Amino acid sequence: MPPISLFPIRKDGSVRGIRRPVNAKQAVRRSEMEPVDTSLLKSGTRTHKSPCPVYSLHHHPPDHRYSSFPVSFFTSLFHFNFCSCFLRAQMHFPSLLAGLIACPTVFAAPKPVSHSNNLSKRCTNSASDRSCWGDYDTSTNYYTTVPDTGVTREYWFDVQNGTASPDGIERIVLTVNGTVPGPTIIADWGDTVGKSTYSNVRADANFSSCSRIQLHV
Amino acid sequence: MSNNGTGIHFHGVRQNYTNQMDGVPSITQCPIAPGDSFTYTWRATQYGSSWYHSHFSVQAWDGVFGGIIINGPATADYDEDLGNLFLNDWSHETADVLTLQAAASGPPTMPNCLINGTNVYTDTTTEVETGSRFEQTFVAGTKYRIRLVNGAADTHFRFTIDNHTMEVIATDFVPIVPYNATDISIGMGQRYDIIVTASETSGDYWMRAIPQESCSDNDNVDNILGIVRYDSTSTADPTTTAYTTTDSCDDEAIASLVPYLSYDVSSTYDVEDDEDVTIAIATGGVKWEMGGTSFVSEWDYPTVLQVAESNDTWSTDQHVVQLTTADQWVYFVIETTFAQAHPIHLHGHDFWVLASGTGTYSTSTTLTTTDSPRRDVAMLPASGFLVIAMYTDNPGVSFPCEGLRNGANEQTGMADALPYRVAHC
Repeated sequence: MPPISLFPIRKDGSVRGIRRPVNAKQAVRRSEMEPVDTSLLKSGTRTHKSPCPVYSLHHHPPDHRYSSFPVSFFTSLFHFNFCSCFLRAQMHFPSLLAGLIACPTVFAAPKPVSHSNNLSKRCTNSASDRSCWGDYDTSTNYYTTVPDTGVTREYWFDVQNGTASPDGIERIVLTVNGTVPGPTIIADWGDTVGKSTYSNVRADANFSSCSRIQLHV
Repeated sequence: MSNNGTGIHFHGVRQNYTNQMDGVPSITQCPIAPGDSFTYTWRATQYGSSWYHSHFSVQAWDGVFGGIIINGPATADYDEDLGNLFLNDWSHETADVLTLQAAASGPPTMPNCLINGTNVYTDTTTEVETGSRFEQTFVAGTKYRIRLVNGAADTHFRFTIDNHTMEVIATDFVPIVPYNATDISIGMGQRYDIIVTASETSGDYWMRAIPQESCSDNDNVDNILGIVRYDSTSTADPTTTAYTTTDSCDDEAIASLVPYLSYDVSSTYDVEDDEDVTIAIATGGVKWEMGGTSFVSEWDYPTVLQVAESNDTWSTDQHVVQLTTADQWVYFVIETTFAQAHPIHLHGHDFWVLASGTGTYSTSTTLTTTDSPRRDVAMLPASGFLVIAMYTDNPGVSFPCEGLRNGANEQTGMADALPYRVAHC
């Protein structure tokens, strides 16, 4: 079966299809998940152009073993080295593009949830105490109370045509950034997720086009 | 390039006061045209596991989907988070082709399914096996968190791992009081977070995602298998035996799904709405209907824009239920005479499952208003009823899809559904 051409590797080892970030920080794999330390947010520096100001920040990705999902998905198409390259890119993706974003929103009313900036970190989430989350825990009414992390996770999604053979039979697929499934969105409770979706799909269905895109943020 | 589009929906995310970020073309936005872009911004007010997917036509089942993990506390301890584990059905045709087949002759039989994006397939003519199985190595004694997601177009799964008990800690985005199960019923769009203790010391064990034939047609029903290995170098096929299970598309028992955070439903409702779910066989093909109408998309005039323009002229096909008062309890009674279970999903809110069963709902039906399951997808049983409650605390145009499977059944390319307006903004 001929290899598909979706994921050429750049010279620096990153994979086309995932936008290359500027000032990429090395992701650190951790065995335990903790809320992000918001003190790190204050020293953010602007790193790359986007429709809104974007700032870099430190981000500790959670232990996320199933990041290897796309590897198994494309095992039949790519040899191992390629897959491991891609896996690294995939795992770094959320942290590389984490940014602080300040977007005006369209007719959004003020959020009715309460905020707490008093992060005294009553406890630390660990393998022997998963019920706790800094000053919050499983008893927190998450319908009314949300940690105020001040963090925005930014992702760029590019919807593209492609092919894949997850059970060895090649077929046409639509991908997000060249993979099925697309990148996993990973955030901490209370974070803001900002995501730009770029549509690059081919016209292969009979749906009428929209002439009225007025809800840009 | 001018006649396609897309839009990304973040399944189960409340979009608290960010209704316009829900990613549903024709409801909360226009489709994103080819070459164009759209920026979604929303706050993770909940924590747990979910997935995102295109909500334009049937693109989700051609591959436009992925996992969502919102880190937060959990109701039971575990050592390692293995992340999202997707269960998908898989055709070798595109979803658009399946849609045409479905419209002409009902849901097609799927040739295969995937666990974590992979499986084997045996060609029916040549009998050559291709592909490979998902494999996961366990270290004895370790507790693994697995975030199950049913991302299928038209398949209800029962998930089980031979010789291993699962501790269930969350239904959709709602942490629950943990309970133990040897198999879990998971409908389309549903998520279950489970903790699996590596309770064996060695060997290879089948992981099974069994399409439930009560509501799913599949040609490979006994072969949707992954492997749990205690020795990563092993290449042997397991010889283990499955737990005894019953084929059913009903949800897990209401009594098992007790939310950890108590939030009881008012036993008196402010608004009640009755909806009949039916399948209509008409000139245009097979369509799912809710309340006698099949939702029709208006790509260029999304419902949220109509609301913003204070245009209160709703067509029958929009099937709008207007809830104009904030902080009210609304009960929906959803019934079907169709002999196949069907998922019901509500955007923007967790809902409470008050009752479900076969037959018809009556005023004598017992409603569970204390410790009732809270989630965003529940199964409407075959020839049965489902009673859900919601609270009007998140204004906007929500979208109770009566099931993702409709995407493959609906010629308009949008799940036929019932957009309603919670208009107190």
